[in-house]
Amino acid sequence: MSDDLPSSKLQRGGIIAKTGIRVGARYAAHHLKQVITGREDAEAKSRLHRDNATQVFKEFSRLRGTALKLAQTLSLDNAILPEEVVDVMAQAQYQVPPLNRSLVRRILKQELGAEPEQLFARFEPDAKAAASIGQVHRATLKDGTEVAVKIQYPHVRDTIESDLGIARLFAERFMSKAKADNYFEEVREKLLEETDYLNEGRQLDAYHARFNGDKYATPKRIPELSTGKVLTMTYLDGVHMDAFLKRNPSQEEKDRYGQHFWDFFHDQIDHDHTVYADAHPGNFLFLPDGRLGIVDFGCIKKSPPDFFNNYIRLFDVHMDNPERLKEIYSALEMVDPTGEDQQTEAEFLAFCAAFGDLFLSPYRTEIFDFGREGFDRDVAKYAREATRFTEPRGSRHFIYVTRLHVGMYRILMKLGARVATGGGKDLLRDYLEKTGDAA
Amino acid sequence: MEPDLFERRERAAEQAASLYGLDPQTFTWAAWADATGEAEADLKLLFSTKTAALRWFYTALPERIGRRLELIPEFGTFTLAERYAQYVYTALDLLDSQREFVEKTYRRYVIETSGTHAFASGSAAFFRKTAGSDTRIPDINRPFMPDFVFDLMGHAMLRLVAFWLEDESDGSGQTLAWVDKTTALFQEAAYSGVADRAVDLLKFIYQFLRR
Repeated sequence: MSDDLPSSKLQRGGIIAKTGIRVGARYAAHHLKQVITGREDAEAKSRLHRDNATQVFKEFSRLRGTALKLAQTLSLDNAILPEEVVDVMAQAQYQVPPLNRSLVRRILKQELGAEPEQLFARFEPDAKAAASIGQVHRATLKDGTEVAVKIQYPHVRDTIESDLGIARLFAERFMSKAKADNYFEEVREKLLEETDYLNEGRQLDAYHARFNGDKYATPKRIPELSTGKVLTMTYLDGVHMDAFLKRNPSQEEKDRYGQHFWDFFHDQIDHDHTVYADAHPGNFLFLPDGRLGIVDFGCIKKSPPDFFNNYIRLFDVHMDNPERLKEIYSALEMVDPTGEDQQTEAEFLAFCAAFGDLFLSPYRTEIFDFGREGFDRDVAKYAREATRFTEPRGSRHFIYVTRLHVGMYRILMKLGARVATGGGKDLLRDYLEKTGDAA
Repeated sequence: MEPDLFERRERAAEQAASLYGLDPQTFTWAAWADATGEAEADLKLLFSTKTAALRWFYTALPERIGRRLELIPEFGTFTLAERYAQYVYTALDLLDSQREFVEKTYRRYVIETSGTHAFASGSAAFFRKTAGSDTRIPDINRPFMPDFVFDLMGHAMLRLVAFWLEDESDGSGQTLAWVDKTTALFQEAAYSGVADRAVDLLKFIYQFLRR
């Protein structure tokens, strides 16, 4: 496999189209077989999903960059895809084929001005993890500090425009141009930010100052070995969720980490309308000392105060003030009180009310069991139902704010953690009191 | 440890290139001796003429690159593509360290020289030796790697440097893409099949020509 990722729209579009044709042909063959034999083979269908997802992952791994990031987002933030697809695509979090080692040396030399042997006491030439935008190597500084060195793939920034251009071709089939402009601008801005490691370094510094402590561990940036394309930070020694679960941890252990996830979300509420927006399992580590390790600070979302305060106010309207549902959902651009088809608007508001009630049900008990039978299925059911309403709705700022919220729920459900929700509730109420009536 | 003769010559040639790169008129024996800390008489023992030193900067490149590759701890575990790419990147680093000199003289001292330049033949020897010692290449593929292939690669190396000198893309991205794609293609051909890699390269060439 070539290590220099294809960056032009032509090259990348070709790979995506080829993958689409292959996957489509497999599904067509499966359905044909089903028509001919007249029976539904569940095992064959599951195998088909897995094979197709593997094919998609393989091709998108070649592309790396934005395409892989978008595929990963689609698979992890959306409950409508089959479980087999989600499982395979989850590999995109940390199992992309790494760059060749000579190119790694080249990038380090270009960015930091010296060979790895001169920069570090020890540098591991093989990547420890490789994801959509860059890969991570372990190293030891000359003073003995263990570090992680994150190296950005060449030309990743160039892939943003070409991949978003391709994605828009699909998106404009089911949303208006104005809406697509709005959403795509939000995604574009965030992706550009994610490819600026100097910006990520500043965000890392801010989160380290605020969150590193008894509950959470965040890396410390090493500024003298960091540039726009290389980010060196202290190493966090922990395992990802899959490895943690493979060890068959006790319920108590799962609850402890689950509580940290829950608290991490709520501890950010009063934080200048800014949240960590990349809550997928690859960005969290389970540390042996019981702390939750948080890595990758490329995707931090700072929302306009009005949007953020109304988003938080959803907690209040669902819990205590349902008469304000329409007002707040309208302010968040989820429903249009002046739209021509008020019947659809009313149906969608009813849908929001029901989904919101389910989503906020953890706050209605002192201890909520995210592994509770049927909770994940009910959430997935609503996510599927959302597709009934043809055009995507809501302010562009939802895209990244809900990534944290939905991502956290997904992690908690997979962990099967029981969480004490009271502290989060108090923080939400304090914040709402402080900010007054939004909308 | 005392520097060996090669190291002394290398240091002197680097200084010669640096002085010449700044301004050919100021490249005198005296200025050169001053810059290197060597006596003029000693410099004359290292190089019979000033031009010989400038030419040596290029002819000794394969040896200079080889010495640097020996310092890379994991080089022995590199794949064929990684070794080839590392050779090229190291060459570009050495040339880039005297960029002004190279821009002034590369064409005259290397491209327009008569016969096969030592940079090309030395590079070909490296490519040949590296492939010859790579146990991951199946014996059945070796007949498809005759000597002229490596000679061709040696000449391609000269052209690649000329291309790199004109490359204005961010971080010489176009040059890196060429290196990556051609070394990956060669490795795939040597280790197994070639079809996918050839298509990849052809696509890149097509895209490149359209720009």
